[in-house]
Amino acid sequence: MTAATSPRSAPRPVTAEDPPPAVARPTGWAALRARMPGEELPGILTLVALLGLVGLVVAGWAAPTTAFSLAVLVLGARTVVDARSGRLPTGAVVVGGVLVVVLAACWWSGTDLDQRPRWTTERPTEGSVAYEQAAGSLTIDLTESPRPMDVTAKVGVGRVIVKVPDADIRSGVVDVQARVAGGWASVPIPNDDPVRPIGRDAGPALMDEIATRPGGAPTVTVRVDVGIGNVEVHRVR
Amino acid sequence: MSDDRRGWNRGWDVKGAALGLFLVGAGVVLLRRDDAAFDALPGLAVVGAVACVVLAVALARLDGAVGDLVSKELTRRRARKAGAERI
Repeated sequence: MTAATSPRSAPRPVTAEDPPPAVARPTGWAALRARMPGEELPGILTLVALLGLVGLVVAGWAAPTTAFSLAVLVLGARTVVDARSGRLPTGAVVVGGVLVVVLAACWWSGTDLDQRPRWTTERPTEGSVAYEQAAGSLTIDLTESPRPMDVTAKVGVGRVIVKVPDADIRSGVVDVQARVAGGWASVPIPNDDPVRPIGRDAGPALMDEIATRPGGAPTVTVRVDVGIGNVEVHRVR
Repeated sequence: MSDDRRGWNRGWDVKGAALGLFLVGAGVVLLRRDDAAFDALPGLAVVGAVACVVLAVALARLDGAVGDLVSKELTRRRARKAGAERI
């Protein structure tokens, strides 16, 4: 009698009562590697990195522009890592692309994202003044300013309102030149008024420029440069 | 025997890799405006890589600990239920 046909050596059929067979479980580094969330890890790391950048900005250790640039780097690195496993993280790509466009637009228009927006009204009392702010609204009230007056204003994103006396515009002593890279500039003038703005829409695409028609010797000169937003010249009667 | 096509064995997504490299390049160019941050970029990369490894190991250990706890609890319940059915 051979061993294969011996009733003693024949394997007993497995029943439901039997305990599950022992499986060799990995230990040490192999156990850690088996537990690592390979598929989810890039997403988790990206989230942690972005939260860390938010924390840096809130704590004042990093400027918002720097944090946004680092966020673009992080999202790009995550996209490359995901591409290694044949996936495309659409959300990360869209957010990164929007950030790149916004940061490039701010760079191009000279907007400083690190400054907070302000809403101010200025009434210059000196002969020559210059204003500069990153974002918000700037109102320059020239109705009670001394003459001659020379004003320069530069705003990254927002609105600039220039208030000038109507009588000065009618007498042709006001020279306002405004330049808007993305937006519009306007001088609201009644249809029956002979004083018209000149040079409107004279620049390249997305560029809007206005200039009031000055007389012989302007006593009020205003130069406004806005990145994204609008410029309005208000005539105060 | 079929090839394992999971995880990194799936191979590169060329479009995704190109987009990712574009974003990385754009991030580096944008970061050049801040000289201090740009100079600190290699250090930041090292710190980021170390943080990634530490976080991955921590997650794996946490997953192991929680997994063991859940497994033990489930086994205990199953054994209790089996014992009650036998009685």
